[in-house]
Amino acid sequence: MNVVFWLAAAGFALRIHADGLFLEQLKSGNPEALRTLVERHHAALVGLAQSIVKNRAAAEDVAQETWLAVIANISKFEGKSALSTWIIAILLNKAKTSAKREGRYTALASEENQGDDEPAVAPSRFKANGHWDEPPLPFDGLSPERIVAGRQLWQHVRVLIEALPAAQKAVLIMRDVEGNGSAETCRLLDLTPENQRILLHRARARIRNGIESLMRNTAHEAITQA
Amino acid sequence: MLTCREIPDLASDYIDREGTARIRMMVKVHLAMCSRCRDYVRGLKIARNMTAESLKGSVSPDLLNTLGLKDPDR
Repeated sequence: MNVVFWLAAAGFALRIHADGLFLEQLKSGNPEALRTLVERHHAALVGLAQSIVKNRAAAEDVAQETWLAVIANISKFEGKSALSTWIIAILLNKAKTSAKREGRYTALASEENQGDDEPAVAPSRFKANGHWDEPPLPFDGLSPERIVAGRQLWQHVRVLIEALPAAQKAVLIMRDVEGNGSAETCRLLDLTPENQRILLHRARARIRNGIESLMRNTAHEAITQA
Repeated sequence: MLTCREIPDLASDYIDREGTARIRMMVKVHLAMCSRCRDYVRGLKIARNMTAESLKGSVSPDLLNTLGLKDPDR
């Protein structure tokens, strides 16, 4: 066992301890902890709800109802699943109920294609021999830590996520925003592993290509320092 | 041997360490030789991180008020 292993183990133990403390604060109704929880997950919940109810205002309502239910019931949360999974399950139930009431419910699995079977990168960007003709722009300097001030870029990424087809958006939020694994994502969204994999691939490619387009059209300094 | 044209469609599985070991190895070998495809894959990872960060922290004061969580300092 080397030092790196023990440092990693200590870091993991500290994180588990901190998560446990946070959960205890939430269960005792600590407003600051609850506010942190809402700030951490609210935009993701609205995006997920929107993929079911197809309407921004209705999605905001569903997310608000979800938070009221979470706050009312968090003292009974038993920790059998991750807290975020518990919250998302409540949200999806409420979103489905709302969509069915409005006669707008469509299972995500039946929406997966939506005529959207384009390749990740346009074929015209490659030469006949399969090598790049128009190569990808390097994203140097675009790590989240270095672009805190780049409001235009963050807004652009939010718009790109919002514009994704419903099923792609739901999978992207489950996997890359909420950090769920593929099995949990398939279970909560009623998708097969293959559907889920393809939807995630398409969604990520669209976001990457959207950021690249913005970089082509805007001076790099303007993005990172705006 | 994979060509550059095939890499974008395999990159999402690759950054999640999903897919078959054989395909992952073929992608890895290609990336070792091709800086342009490394740029593509690195951009996909950055886009993934930015997706996660972009949806955090934006909550309206009205919502916090409705939930009884309004920050008295704000």
